[in-house]
Amino acid sequence: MSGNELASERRGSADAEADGSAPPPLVEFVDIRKAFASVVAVDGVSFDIPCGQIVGLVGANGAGKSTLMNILAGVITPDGGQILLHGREVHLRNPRTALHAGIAFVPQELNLVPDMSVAENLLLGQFPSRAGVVRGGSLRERARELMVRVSLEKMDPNRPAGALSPVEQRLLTIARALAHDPQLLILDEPSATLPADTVEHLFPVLTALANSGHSLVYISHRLQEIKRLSDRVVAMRDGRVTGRVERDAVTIEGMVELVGGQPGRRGTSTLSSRRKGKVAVAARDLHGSRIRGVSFEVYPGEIVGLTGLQGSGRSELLRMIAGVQHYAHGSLDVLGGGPCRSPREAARRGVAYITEGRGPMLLRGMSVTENATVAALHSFSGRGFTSGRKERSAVGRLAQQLSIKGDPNQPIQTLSGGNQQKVLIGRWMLTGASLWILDEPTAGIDVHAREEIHRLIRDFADRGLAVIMASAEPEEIVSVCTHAFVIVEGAISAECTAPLAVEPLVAACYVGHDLGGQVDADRSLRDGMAP
Amino acid sequence: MSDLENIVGISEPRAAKGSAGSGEQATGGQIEPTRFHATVPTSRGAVLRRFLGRYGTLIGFAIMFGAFSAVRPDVFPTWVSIRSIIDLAAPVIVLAVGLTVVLNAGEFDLAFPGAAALVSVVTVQASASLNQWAVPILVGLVVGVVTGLIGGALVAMRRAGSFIVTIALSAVWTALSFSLSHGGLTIPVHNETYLNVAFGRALGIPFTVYYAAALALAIYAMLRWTVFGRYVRAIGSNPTATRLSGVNMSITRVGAFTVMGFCAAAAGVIITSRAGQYSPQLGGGLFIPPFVAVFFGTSVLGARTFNVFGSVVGALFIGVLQSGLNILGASGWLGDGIIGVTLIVTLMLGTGRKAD
Repeated sequence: MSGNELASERRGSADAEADGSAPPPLVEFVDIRKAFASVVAVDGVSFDIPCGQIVGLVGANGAGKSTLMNILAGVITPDGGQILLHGREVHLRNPRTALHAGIAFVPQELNLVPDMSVAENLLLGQFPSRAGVVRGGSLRERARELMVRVSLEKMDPNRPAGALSPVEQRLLTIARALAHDPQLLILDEPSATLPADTVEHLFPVLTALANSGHSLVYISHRLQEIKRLSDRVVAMRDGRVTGRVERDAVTIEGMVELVGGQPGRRGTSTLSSRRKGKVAVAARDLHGSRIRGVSFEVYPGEIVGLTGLQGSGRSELLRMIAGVQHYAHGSLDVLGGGPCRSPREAARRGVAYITEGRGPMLLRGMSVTENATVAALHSFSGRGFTSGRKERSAVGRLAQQLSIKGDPNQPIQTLSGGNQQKVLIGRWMLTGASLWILDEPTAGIDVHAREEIHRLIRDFADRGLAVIMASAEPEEIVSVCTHAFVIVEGAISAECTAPLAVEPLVAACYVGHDLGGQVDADRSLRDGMAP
Repeated sequence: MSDLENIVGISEPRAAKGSAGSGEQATGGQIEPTRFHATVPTSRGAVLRRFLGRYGTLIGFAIMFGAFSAVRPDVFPTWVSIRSIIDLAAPVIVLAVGLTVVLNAGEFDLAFPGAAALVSVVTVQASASLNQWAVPILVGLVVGVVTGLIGGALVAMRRAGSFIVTIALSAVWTALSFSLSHGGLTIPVHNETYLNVAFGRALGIPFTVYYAAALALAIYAMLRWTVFGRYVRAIGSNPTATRLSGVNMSITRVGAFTVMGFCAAAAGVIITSRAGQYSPQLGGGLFIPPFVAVFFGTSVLGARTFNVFGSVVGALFIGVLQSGLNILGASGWLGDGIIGVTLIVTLMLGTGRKAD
C-alpha cells in the first residue's frame, strides 16, 4: 500500500462535508486506538461507512476487526480517537447508548432461546404487555412486521426457534436487531456457522436492507461473499487499515494481499531431507464432525504447522490426536501405539496437549507449583504423599529454564498470560513428553514471551521431539515450523514445505487453493513427494 | 490456608489488574469473577475491609462467646460447658470435614444424613443381637464406606449431577434404614462398651473430641500433602484441566465420596452411642449444620475456599450458639434461625461474586 493511495482514499467525507455537496457519512472513524495491556488491538484506524451501503470488513484473526466493531457497538471504550455519527461526535459508553444511536450489533453467536417461539425471540426484552401479561396477538403482529423484512414472512411465528434451520436462525437474529430500528447493522461473520449452500439466502435480504437505507458492516473471512456483497471493502491487518477498495476494484487476489501477512517473510527453518526415526503421528483418511478425510504424517524432529480459518477444523484435528475427541472413521497412530482413547492414555504415552486459550488448562486458585506438577505428580511423590522438596526443586529449575517470572507459591491466575503459558508448557516438560500438540500456543501473549515460546518449540524439535502446532497466523507458522498444512473446511487443501513463505499460506487459507507459489495444492502430488 | 490477599498485596501491577475485557481474558474464553482487589489497599476503609475479611468471622465468634459469658458468667465460660460444646459439636465436625472433601472436588453430597441413619440402624441392630461393640462398629463403618463408594461411582459416571444423584440416594438410604428398623422403631443400645464410645473420657476430655480431632487432622493432611488430595483440589478448581493432565477422574471422585461415607458412618456411631439408641429422627437433624459449618468456614481467615480449619471453626460456632441459647433457655428453633441468618450475612459480605 503506497502513501499516495492512502492519501487519495482518505479524502472521503471530510472534503465532501467541507464543500457541502454531499451529506456526511453515517459513521466516521477518526484515528481510533485501543490497546489491551501491552497488546495494541486497534492502531489509529480511520474510515467511514456511507448511508445505505454495505461495507465489507476483512482481516485475519487478531487484525482488530472485532475490537473496532465492539467499540462501535459500545461494548469497548476506545483509548483515543473519535466516532462521528452524521458528522457529529458521539460517545458510545455502553451497548444501550449505541443502540439508541441507531447502531445494532449482530454477534456471530446466535444467542437464541431455542424453546421459545420465533415471535418471543424477536421481541425478547420488549414484550408488548398489559398489567404484566404478555399480549400474544400484538406480539405476533409486531413479530410478523419484522419477519417480512428478512423474507421470513411465510414462517409461523409460534414455531420454536430451535426448530429453525441455521440460515433461518441467522435471519431471525438479523430481524431481532431490526426490532430496535437501527440505521447501521454490524454483522459479525453471519455466514461462518452456515452450510455453504444456504448462505445464498442471506444476500437478497442484506441487499434489500441496504436499498431501504440501512448501512451494513459485513465481517467475513469468505472473500467470495465479500466481493459479491460489498459496495466497498476495508481491509485490516495488525490493528491498521491496509486498504479501502471500491466495489468495481475489488478482486480476491487484491484482498488476499491486503489481509495477508508481512510480505516477503520467509521461514528460516529447513527440514532435513530424509526423515529420521519412527513416525510419531500417522493419520489416514481421518473423519470427524468437521474433519473430512485428512491424512498426514509427523516425524520426530519436525514442527508441523496447521493453519486455516476459524472453524476450519484445526482444533478438532488436534483434539483427536490428543485423545480428547474420538474420530468417526479412518485410522490414526500416535507414537506407535494406535490412537489414544483418553487424555489419560495420551498423557501416559508421552503426548503433551495444550488447548487453545489457557482457560481450559489452568487450575485457578492453585499455586504455580501445583499447576506445573499436576501431570507428573507421581514422580514427585512417594507412598501417596507429595514431596514438597522434590516439587520445589523441579519447579525452580523449570522457572529458570523457561524464565518464568513470579513466585512459585502464588496463584497461577495472578501471572501474566505469557508466564501462564510457560507454566503449562512446563507441566508437560516434567512428564517427559515426546509428542507436543499445541493449539494457538502464543495467542494473546506479548511479543517477548512469544519469542521465548517459539525458541522453546524449536528446541523441542532439535532434541528429536515431534511437534504439531495450530496457528491462525501464517507468520507464526512460517517462523517456527518446518512443514505446514492448510486446512479449509475440514480437509487439507495445501501443504507447504520449508522454506515456508507467508503469501501462499494466506492464499490457501482464504481461497482454498494457492494462487501460485510453492504450494503443492494437489494431494496426489504431495503423496508422491512423501518419502 | 491460602494467602491470596498477601500475595495480591505484593504482586506486580499486571497481575493485580486482571480485569474483564483484557485481551488475555478474552482468549481465555470465559469470564471469571475478579477475585482480587484491584489495587493494594491504602485508604483506611480498604485496610479495615481487608482486616475484617480476614478476621471478621473469628472476631464475631469471640464477641458471641463474650456476650454469652457476660450474661451467664456462672455457667457459660466454664470448662464443663466448653467441654460439652465440643462434645456436642463433634458429629457436626466429623460430617463437616467429610463434606469439605466433596465440596473441594467440586461436587455436592446430600446423601450423608441418610447414610448416617443407615449406619446407625445397622450398628445398633448388630450391637443388640451380638451384644458386642467392636464388630458392629466395624460393620457400620464398612456400610458407610460402601454408601460413599456407590454415590461416588454414580457421580463419576457423569450421567447426572451429584446434587440430584445424592438426593435420590438419600431417599434410598433413609428407606433402607426404616426397613431395617421395622418401619422406624426406636432401638435402644444395651452394650455398655458401645455406650462408652461416646461417653468415655481420657485426660478429662470426652472420646468424641478425639475422634473429631483425629478425623479433622487426617483430612487436613490428606488434602494438603497427598497426591489424592491434590487431585481432589485440582478437579474442584478446573475439571477439564485436570482431565487433560491425565488424572484419573473417576477414582478421585469415588475417593472423595468414600471419605464422606466414612465420616457419615463415624457420625452415626457417635450419635447412637451418645443417645443410647437409634431413633428415626436421627437423619433429618444432620442435614443443615454441616453445610452451614463448611460454607461459614470459607470466610474464616479470608480463605474463600472450602478448608478443614474453617469447617471446624464453623462447627464450633454452631455449637457455641446452640449451647448459649440453650443455657439462656431459648427454644431450639431460634438457634436454627440465627444460624441461617448468620450464614446468609457471612456469604453476602464475602468478596467473591458469581458471574451471570
